[in-house]
Amino acid sequence: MKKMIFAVSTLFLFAACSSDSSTELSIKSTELSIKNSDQSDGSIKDIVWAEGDADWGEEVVDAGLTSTAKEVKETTGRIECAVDTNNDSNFNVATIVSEQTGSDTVSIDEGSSNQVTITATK
Amino acid sequence: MKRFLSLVCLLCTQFLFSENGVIWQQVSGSWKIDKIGEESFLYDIRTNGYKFNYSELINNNSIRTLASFKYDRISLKLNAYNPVSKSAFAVFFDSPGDYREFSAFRFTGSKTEITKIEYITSRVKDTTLPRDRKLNFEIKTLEEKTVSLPYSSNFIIEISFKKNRTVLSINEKDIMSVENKDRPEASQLGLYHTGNLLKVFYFEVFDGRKPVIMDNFSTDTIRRSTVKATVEKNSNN
Repeated sequence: MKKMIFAVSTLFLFAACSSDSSTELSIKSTELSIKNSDQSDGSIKDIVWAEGDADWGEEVVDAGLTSTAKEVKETTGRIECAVDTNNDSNFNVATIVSEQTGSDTVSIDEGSSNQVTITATK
Repeated sequence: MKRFLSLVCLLCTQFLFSENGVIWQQVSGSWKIDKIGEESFLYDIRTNGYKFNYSELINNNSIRTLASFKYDRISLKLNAYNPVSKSAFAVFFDSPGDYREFSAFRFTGSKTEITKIEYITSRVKDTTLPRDRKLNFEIKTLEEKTVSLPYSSNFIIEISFKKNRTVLSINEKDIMSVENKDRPEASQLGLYHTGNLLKVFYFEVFDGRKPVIMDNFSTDTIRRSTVKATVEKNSNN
């Protein structure tokens, strides 16, 4: 009986310890998703964050929808996408510039799930 | 008197046009104009390109003339510096409109020196596919030459088109002469780079003796694509 109580106690202790250490070790990752506002002129694709820290490749984000969330390392960077600006199917890289600040650099919060909403206008 | 003033104005306009008569289109990268002392230059703050894979130009940091020109000589002064392990830069020409169609002299190298110059062409692989199809272009090396050129040095690069040949010279020394039979009548031209930083001090283009482009980058005439956006940030811990 004593042996059994000792074994159960040891198990509880082990479980408690492992639970504590997992809490201590967990570091929240930084995630980013791009919401294309329903006020946008159209869909966006080929979205790149911070010179390739994360990219959404062929994922097309229609107006009003949000891209999948991607884990990122950089917390400051530019959002870029490929655009056919001259309507001649020659693609240029366009930088997303904030209308509020005029800046092409966006900062996000480390260790959080960030969502940046953009309203793309031609 | 009025006629005289009109003539002076016309001459001034032509002078200004020949000084800065070219509009550049930034395809990729982040190209700027700056000045040190009296010398102004074009440069790109990006080292590496990002592979969007629509064309070689979008994959590397590139800039090109917005309009097409008829020309038989290109002359420019540039400096490539801060190379990473794989470094390349190129002067491209004979690009009739489609970004995937051009010829170029491409300089490639290691972290320590420029080791090779290639005469390359970029062509569309399958013209029946939609133009937004990725990787539908092919780069071919038609000729190449091993060289040993330092980084962080100014080079005067001249490309001249004589009869059916294209000749590359560096610092007034002929380096390569390649066959080039089917040139477009008029075309766009420009530069690209990856794995290094690039400064360009002037870019001149001639048609015979007539100057077509005479840009010393004293004025910013670069068109950059931007998507104006209202950025709203929401974060959840």
